[in-house]
Amino acid sequence: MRQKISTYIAIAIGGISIIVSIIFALVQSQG
Amino acid sequence: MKKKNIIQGILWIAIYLVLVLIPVFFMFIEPRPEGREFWRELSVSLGFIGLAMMALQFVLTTRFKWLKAPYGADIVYHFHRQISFVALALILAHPLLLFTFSPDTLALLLVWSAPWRARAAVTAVIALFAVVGLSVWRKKLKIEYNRWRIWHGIFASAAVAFAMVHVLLVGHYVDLPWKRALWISYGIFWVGLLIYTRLIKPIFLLKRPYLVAEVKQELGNAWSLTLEPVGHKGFQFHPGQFAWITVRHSPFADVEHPFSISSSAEDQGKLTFTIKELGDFTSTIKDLQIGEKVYVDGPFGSFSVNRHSHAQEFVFIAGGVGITPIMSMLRTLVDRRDERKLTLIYANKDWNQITFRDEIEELKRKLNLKIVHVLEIPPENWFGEKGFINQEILLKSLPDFKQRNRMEIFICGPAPMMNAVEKTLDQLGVWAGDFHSERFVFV
Repeated sequence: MRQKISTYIAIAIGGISIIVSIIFALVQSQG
Repeated sequence: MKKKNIIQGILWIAIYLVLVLIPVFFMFIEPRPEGREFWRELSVSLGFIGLAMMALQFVLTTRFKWLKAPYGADIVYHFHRQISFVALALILAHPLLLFTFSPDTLALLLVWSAPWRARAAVTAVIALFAVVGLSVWRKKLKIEYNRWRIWHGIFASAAVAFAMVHVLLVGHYVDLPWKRALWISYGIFWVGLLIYTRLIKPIFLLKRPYLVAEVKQELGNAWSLTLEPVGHKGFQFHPGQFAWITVRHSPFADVEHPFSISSSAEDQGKLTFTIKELGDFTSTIKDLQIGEKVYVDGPFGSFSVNRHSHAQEFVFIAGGVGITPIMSMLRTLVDRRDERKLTLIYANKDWNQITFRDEIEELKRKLNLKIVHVLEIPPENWFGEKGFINQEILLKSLPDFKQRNRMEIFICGPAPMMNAVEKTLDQLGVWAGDFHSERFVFV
């Protein structure tokens, strides 16, 4: 169970990273 | 205690996320270079985040007790493995997006004609593939654990170092002196971590040696190794914790093995590890001589009754040599004259393989302890449980399992047994926060 949670956290961190990157790329490409 | 652990655990995850995203925040700060097309900026951002993740991998594997305390060492290593795949995906997305949307950049793969910034990037990616590949296929490739550890460190350092060189040579988002200084200080931090693990920590261990005081044979093909500190008081530990031991080598050789402590935490100073003969190294424990020098790095792990002092009852579920940390807890509870209800469900192959069999029977007289032996191959006229630990046995042994926070369950044994028991407890509706396990799989 704890391992599953840590896997989900790793996936969530990856997802947040992609979202932040997309926001950055949108802002920077229009600036 | 639980609430404090949860808050501490969430705090570390938040700090980790901030550190991973920090390069992007810095790229946002004005003055920024002129914007380029969306895919190129996305590619660069993913590359920076992937690099930060790679660099933070060093922090995860450095044995900082304060970092591992809320989760347990095994979970931090598990996260280290899982996040490495995420980092690899983000880093690979960086060139793949560039190649897809700016096909002219494919020429950068021709390393003999490419500029140094591209050569550094290609080398970093190759090193990263080596890190992940050797870790995933170590057992299939039959690479000995310590040899793998050395190469893992070399390739990982090379991957980060060459990626840093790539960032500095490209220079797009590190054109200002303060941004450049920031990345250089990141690099200094990683070098500092390496100096700490490879130099400072070994010096500390060298100054605090232990001597072999006893090597005793136990049932179940296991050996109890007792160590005494020399010139220092040893360390305090929680029952159920483990330590890394170095024998026949200097701490600088980085040849260590993790083992659970089996002695009582109340018997400070002396340390006993009980080790089953399973592989090359564990088969040599019996050959250790009295007075031989040993170095111990510990204690580590969060698998302990000390973290759950609120519990009204403890249940221990052990398989084979998985009894070791549980034995430390039981011995400690004896020394503390603990009167709480205890249940030990102990699975073994047969009656003669039960490590600590006689001592456990003896413990019944000193503790409020119920023992349930489960034997795969029981002797004739055996009236106890047979086969493997299953739902029926757990239901019989744990009548009050549905009351949250009342009973704390500790599971330790071979991975298939732990998986099966955890799954069964989950199916029975036991709250995940009430059962605990720790696994010794570091690759």
